[in-house]
Amino acid sequence: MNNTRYAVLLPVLTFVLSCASLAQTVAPMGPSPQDQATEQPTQQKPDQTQQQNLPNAPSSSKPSLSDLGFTPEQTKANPKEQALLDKRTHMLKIHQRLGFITLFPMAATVVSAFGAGGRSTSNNTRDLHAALGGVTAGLYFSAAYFAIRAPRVPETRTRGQIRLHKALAWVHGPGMVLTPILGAMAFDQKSKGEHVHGIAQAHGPVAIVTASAYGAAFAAVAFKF
Amino acid sequence: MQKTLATVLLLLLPLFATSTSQWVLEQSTLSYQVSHPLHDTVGVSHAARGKGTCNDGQCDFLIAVPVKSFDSGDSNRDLHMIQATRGAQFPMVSVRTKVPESELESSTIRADLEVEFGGQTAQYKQVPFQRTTQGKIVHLSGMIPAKMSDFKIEPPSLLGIAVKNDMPIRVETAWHPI
Repeated sequence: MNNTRYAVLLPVLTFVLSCASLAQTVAPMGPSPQDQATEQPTQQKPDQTQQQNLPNAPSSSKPSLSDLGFTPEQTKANPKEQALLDKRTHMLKIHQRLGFITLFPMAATVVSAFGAGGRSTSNNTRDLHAALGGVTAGLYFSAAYFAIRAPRVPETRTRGQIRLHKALAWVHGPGMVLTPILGAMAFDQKSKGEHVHGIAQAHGPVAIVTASAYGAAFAAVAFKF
Repeated sequence: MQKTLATVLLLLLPLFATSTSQWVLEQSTLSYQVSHPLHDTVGVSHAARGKGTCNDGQCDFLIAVPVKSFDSGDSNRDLHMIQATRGAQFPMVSVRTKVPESELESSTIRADLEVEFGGQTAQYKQVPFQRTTQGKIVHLSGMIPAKMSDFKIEPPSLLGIAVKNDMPIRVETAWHPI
């Protein structure tokens, strides 16, 4: 009787142990032997597929990226997005370069403004000031074009000092439209021997606010504060 | 019959004798630092996931983190970072290492790391990690002496001046066994 019992028990035990061992090597993401001992097999089955995406799912082999539970969206390459980022960076690099270059004629325009006044109808410094202002405006709008046309990356919330940089564009942008117009009016009035009057009187103050906002916008990306 | 059963059990025993232990990354802070003459930048991520499996005295660890999860405090800079590191094409950074299980008990673990980033793989030998324990949780912290050139990343520039090639990555991790 005992022999018969052992004869049945032995192959069953061997089968169970072999299956357990195979489960450990073939299905590394499956539940551990401890889990098998404590949980009903019927309850484990649906969990096994979920566990494959969990970082704490047991495994006896080398861990792989799929073991860590990242979603396919997180791990999948997105060449389209990379191309968008490449284009954006390329355009913003040009924006940065042109914006930086603009600083020099802008500073020169501000400096030359001190000699642009006076009562004479013709003044070399005034002409230089006007020419520098024209160059500044040209470079400024070229730089602005590349910033405006740079592609936006969806689902990106603007954070950090770039917010200040962008906010200041609402000050120096209109300022860079107004300053040359007001400057041209003031230039015209001076050329006619008139005192600068009317809205043209705002040329100086508008220019100061514009240049200050532009300088601050530059500082917002160049320095950390 | 009893003898046969005992023999079979003894023969099957080695199949279960291989000690298998596993570790899961519970918390992490990974931060990269880049330096420019005008300012330094630190980008931080807490989104890493990791797993370690020990078999026959050898432990294999893998930590991975999405490139997009690094936050430097400025969205524009982060987008430039993703572009420069080809983070949309290669969205994950992964670090693999193999450590003898016995070394896991040392206060300093020196690990050979294999870092995959931006479609490139770089090896860092004998990177020291400090180990401290808090109950069952094991804290590992260290610095990976990464350089941009290791991953063929062109150093981004600001106002015509490129950032330094050095890009040390600070690793702070907390692991728990399962």
